[in-house]
Amino acid sequence: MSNTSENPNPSSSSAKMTLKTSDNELFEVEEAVAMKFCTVKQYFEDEKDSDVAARGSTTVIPLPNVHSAVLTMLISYGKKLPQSNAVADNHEEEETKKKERKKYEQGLLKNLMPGELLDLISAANYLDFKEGLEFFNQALADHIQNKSVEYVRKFFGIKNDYEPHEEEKYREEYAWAFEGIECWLIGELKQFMAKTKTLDIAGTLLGIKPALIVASFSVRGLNSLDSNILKPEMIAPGENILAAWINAIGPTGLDSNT
Amino acid sequence: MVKAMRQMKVEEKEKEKKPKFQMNDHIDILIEVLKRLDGPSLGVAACVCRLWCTLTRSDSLWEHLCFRHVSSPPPSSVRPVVVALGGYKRLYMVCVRPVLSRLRNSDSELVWTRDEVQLSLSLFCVDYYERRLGGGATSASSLMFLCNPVNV
Repeated sequence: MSNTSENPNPSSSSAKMTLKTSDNELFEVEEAVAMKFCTVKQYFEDEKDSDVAARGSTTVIPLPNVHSAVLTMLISYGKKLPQSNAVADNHEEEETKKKERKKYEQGLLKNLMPGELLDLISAANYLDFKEGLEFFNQALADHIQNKSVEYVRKFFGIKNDYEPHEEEKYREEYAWAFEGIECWLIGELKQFMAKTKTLDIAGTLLGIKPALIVASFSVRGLNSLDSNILKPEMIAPGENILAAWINAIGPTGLDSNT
Repeated sequence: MVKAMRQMKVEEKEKEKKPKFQMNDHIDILIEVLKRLDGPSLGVAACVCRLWCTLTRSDSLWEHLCFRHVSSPPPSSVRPVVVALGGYKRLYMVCVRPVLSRLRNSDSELVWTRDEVQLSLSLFCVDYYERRLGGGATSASSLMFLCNPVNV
């Protein structure tokens, strides 16, 4: 059992390679698929030059920048691609395989979170997986197509480094591009407005007994003529307050906290 | 319900701690993605940040955009001519985009063949000469028919 690529029967090749991910998971991959990752291919060819025979066929190729979840997706995508050393299919078989691949691609994209797309691109770039990179770059372009500037910035975590007048200048220059762009900001604003409440001034309420008393240690506001005149614009209770805390018990560990 | 929300927030914070893939550190990938955008999205991209603006100023992106759907790319002798007449971005803005939008209105499926490319290039030449000879007007008056609907 050797790991050489000069296999007389490529379509039924059982030559496998072991790849180790950043979270120490081992993946056994068919050589034909693994060779699509040019980084792996390079590593394998470098190893071939050195004394592989002595080590046997259990070379484990480390991929410290790739997480197992991402590698799983890349491998399954690689399997769907036409194999470079496979026997040439007739036209019908080729068409069926193409349709299968398209269906698989659509399914893959549907279940993908946008953030995961960036991880896939990062891994495909590290592995130098050309077909995968092409596919995921296209998917990413399709995702940011027709989106607003704010959405794109938020998606990639890009900071706006324009001065306000600069940004205005560019937005004017490219005003034609903004017709029909999905306005993410307006949508977010609408959601935000729905969640906020407003404080209305009710005016002075008379005749409420007992009158609220401000604690002796509280500041009463500034009245330069007579310091006994209470005139804070807004006051709130400060004694015997039940405040929120995160953990299951309060900050002091007592039954009650103020 | 509150506990679930608390957990979600903790998870989100943990995700933020993981080193994120910074697109601006991988300019070659960024260019590949920008190459696949259509015209308006490229305009939006220019307003995102300074780096993206510099990248979208590169004429090769616009050249790629102009001839993306054509089956056979135009001969290489076209490029110096287009550059001399004002560049691919101008070609896209003045000729390709209006032609595309007119085609889109009439047909559901967009067909962009050599004929449309040649039409765009011819209109581009008209634009250049009218600007040159017409006393430096910003847009050629003959090309106005592209922007306004006409009843023939």
